[in-house]
Amino acid sequence: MPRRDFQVLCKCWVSRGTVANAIDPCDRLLQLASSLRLRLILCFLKLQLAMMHANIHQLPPLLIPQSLDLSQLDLPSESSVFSSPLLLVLLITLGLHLFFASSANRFDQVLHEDKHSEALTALMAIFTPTRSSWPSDILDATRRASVSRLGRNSASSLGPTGSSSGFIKGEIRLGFCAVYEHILNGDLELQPTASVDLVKAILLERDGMEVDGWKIKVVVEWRWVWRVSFWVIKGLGSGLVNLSELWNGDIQVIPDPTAECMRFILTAADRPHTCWVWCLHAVIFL
Amino acid sequence: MVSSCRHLPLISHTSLNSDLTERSRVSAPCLTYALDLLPLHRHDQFARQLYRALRSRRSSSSDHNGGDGGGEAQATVTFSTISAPLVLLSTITLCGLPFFLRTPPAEPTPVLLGLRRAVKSLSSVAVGPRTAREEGRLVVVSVEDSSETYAGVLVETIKRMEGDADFRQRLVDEVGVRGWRRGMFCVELEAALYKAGLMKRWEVLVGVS
Repeated sequence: MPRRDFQVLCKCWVSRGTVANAIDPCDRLLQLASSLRLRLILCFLKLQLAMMHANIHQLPPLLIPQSLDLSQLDLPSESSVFSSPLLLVLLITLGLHLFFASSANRFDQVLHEDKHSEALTALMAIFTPTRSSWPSDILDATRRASVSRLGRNSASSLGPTGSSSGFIKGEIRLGFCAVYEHILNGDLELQPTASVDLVKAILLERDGMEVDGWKIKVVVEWRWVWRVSFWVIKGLGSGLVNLSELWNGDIQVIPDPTAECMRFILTAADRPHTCWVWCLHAVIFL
Repeated sequence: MVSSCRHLPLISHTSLNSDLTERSRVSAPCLTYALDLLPLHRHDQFARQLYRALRSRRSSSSDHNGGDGGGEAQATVTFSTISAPLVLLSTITLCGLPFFLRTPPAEPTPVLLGLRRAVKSLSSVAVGPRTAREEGRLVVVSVEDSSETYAGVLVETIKRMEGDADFRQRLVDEVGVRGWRRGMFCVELEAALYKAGLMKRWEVLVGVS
């Protein structure tokens, strides 16, 4: 293999296969760790609440603040509180947990931001923003896709890059109405070679189109489906309404049969000897 | 075939009679008509008028040639059809969108028309009482799938709409900036449908027997 081809192959391997497969197991581990951490939080919170509950029940009811005499209360002394080994362990654990939780949250946030930028990069295979920032609803959609932990194998359609990593990082779901409005307003532009991808993203609404491990779906809303269907039906029916324009006086249009029979009659008009058969057909239908 | 005679989408929609009359005056070797702009119920009327136009053209050319009667009278009729193997509501919606989104919406002829129906309506010119003395009919000479060529024409149209400053300014003056963007989006979507194989473009060469 020539050296140049080998370098290109390595680049493709690094940029598509390795990175995609390296991030996703890491993501799964983090997911597992976060769920364990949450369970630990709940356990410690329950323990702490139980301890507080026990301490509160040891306290006598508080009277008027002016007449409060601390010496009458049976409060444990400060030294005895911190000398309790269980509470000390709890406090240390809580402190450590808070520290690691905040750092892990920061790490999660950084990871989500990275995934968000990846999702936007994948979306740029089809659309390009004409301004310095993306429209807010597109950002919301990509943010939802980056936060959602959709980790599953996929053997679906190939993306425009021609490669399928087999692991879906997220699913970017856009509405056709919003995309169309953004294009009309000039906020978004179709990539010069991406119109076929848009068609695939609309057509493969159930499976979506895969771009660098991200599934992009453009959903045509039901109101658009109704409008287009009504337009088609209207076009189909216009031939039955504008009968006067049909034949320009070439043949005699027989009045008042049903519309469907009228179509049969007009179709059969070039065979005058069969016209009476269709007239009879119209009478039977009526 | 004269490429300038092609109907491009988004360009002005003239009526059938004036269109036929105007095009018949053109002394081109082969005329080109687009069925997409016509409502479905006027296709038979179109075939009839096309037959008359070609017949008069042949007779005039035979007179011009000294009455040998061998004048070549042929025309190309182009139209689009859905070519998906399974036509579902989603396919109809997707294929109808580039025609529906235009202002005013175009006719849904490409969604409703099929190759068999179009060839049948072209090859069976009805002879009514007024045309009973006319003999002959339209004959389909050839049917050609020109989807790739037409997609290329649409892509060139997009480039022209975007890159040609005079053409762009004329369109913006006529339909506004949103209308210009809408037109570009419709043409891009239509070209993508041909490229993706969801729609087919047919060129039918017809003559007079």
